[in-house]
Amino acid sequence: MATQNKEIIINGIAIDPNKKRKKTWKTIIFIISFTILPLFNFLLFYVYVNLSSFTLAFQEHVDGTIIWGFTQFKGILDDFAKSDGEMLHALINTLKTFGVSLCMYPVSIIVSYFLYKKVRGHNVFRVLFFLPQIISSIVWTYFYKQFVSSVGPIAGIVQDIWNFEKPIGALTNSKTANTFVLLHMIWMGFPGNIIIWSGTFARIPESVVEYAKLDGVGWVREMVQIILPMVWPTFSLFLILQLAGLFSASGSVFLLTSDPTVATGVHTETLSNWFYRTMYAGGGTPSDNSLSQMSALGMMITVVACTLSLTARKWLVKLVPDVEF
Amino acid sequence: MDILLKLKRLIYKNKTPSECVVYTMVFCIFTLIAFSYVYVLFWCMISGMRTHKEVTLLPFVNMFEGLQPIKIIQVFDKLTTDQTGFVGMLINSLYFSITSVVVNIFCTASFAYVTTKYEFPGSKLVYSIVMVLMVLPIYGTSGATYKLYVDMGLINNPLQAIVCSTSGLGMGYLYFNAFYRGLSNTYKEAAEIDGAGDYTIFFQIVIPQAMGLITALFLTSWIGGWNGYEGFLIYMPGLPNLAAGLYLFQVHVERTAQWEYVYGACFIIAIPPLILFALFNKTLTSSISLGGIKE
Repeated sequence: MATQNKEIIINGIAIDPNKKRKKTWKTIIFIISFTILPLFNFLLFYVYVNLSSFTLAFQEHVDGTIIWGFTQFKGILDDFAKSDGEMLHALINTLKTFGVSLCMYPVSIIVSYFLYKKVRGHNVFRVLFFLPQIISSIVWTYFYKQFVSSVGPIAGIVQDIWNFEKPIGALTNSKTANTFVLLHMIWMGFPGNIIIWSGTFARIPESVVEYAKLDGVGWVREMVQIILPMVWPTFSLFLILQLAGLFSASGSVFLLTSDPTVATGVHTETLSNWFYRTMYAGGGTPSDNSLSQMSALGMMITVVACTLSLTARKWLVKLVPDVEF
Repeated sequence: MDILLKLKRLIYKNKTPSECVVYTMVFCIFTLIAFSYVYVLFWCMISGMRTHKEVTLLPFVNMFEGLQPIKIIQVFDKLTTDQTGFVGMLINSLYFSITSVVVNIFCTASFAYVTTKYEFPGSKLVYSIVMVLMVLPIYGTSGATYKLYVDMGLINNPLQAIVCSTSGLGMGYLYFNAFYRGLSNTYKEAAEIDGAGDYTIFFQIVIPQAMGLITALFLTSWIGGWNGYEGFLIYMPGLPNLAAGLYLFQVHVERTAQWEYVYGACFIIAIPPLILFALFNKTLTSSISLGGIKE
């Protein structure tokens, strides 16, 4: 029913359609103002960059001329095929590093689990285990380099285990360097993502855990059959993210062993560190061919990583039924 | 025997024997790891007060002999790169870590708000896009990113902290999305009845309620920005922050063997994040939750 002032009455409430239209325009302006910057950022720094990377991969720069083709891909595949090639070593080290980080994933969850179960001193541990995230990796690596050096406290142990004639720096010898890079990664990655898991475990109702205790359920069964299904969405999400980051798995290789004068360079190299070194080694101005080579390698490993990630997602999401609480 | 039983009950409460063993082992491992983290800071501080000969030849022996606390103070003078001194690096650290985080959090909070609480074409798609971006990795784009930065004049440009931080996607979006989904619409409706506009509702009603989450995200992002060095070495070599400057200083020191200043600088740059964490650790640990996030 419309009144003389052209108001509409619905359920006894008078609504001025002109007023509603003004508010809608204000809301539209509000929405645009809050979406325009993120949209622009996404289009420029994601869409444009990925398209640009795609085209770079098919370019070869010769005397200022761009030649289109598969030269970069061929060069990378040839390097993978060489038994002492830099790329092959980098790939092997990347897979080793990924394996270690995958093993550390449940370890870090178990750490958060025992903090949630209030192991003696949990308040202190919860604070101290944040230190790797709070303090720069530069601080940890410089200490670690000195700790495992030839004048460090474990030099004798390294000498005995690897049968060296004299104490050596574990990060300066090709036999030991990669092992100690991985050990550094384990040391730093031990607490894992306490912030996420503390919040996740805190949501679990105490009553569920108490009922399980009353029924005589032990801590292992409690963790595997009660806690894990309840936190499965978070667990599977971060596991998928871990799998998606397969080729970016790298310890602090750049800080620990990036010195080009050190012979172990090739034995600790990972794909992620290769990307970074390629950018950095150009003195801040990498050549066009370097950029094309990076784009080509990136494209190849993206295809593999995406396939793995999608397959894992499809399987993991359905593995454990949803638990509502 | 009674005392032992009472002690056992006090320490282990009602745990089974196997649980007692496991909890003891876990406690020992946790203690060892936690001690190692604290020891690193202590060692950096002490090494910063020793001579370079002692630090190079006997880094873990006779650590308390002949300490010179003045050397820690000298770090402020010694920590320099080709173009930037300590004060310059400190200014760069503060500017980039604060500006980029504030811009990013504002863009993320506002973008997540409109896409969660308002319906418009594409609003429901954003969550899926964020999940896809996180789950589907794309490698090797740093070259194209570098070219873009060069073309836009962002290399060694302080505006990079603002321009590159306007993304509303990423993990922060998921946190804010989870928060806004849990926020009742009653507040918004009550404010609308009182005549409040959309901006008023967002800034005066929604943001105050999200302050816990915003503070926690600000702290974690700020710490990451303060400690980050990789981006500075590539995209801001002329405007290094303290972490990047420390790396460049270390490269220089390898030729002059002044390692005590490197370790002293390590201790100094660890202090601000430690202080902030000491003040806000409860906020950090309790305000971030993904809730019942599902894929």
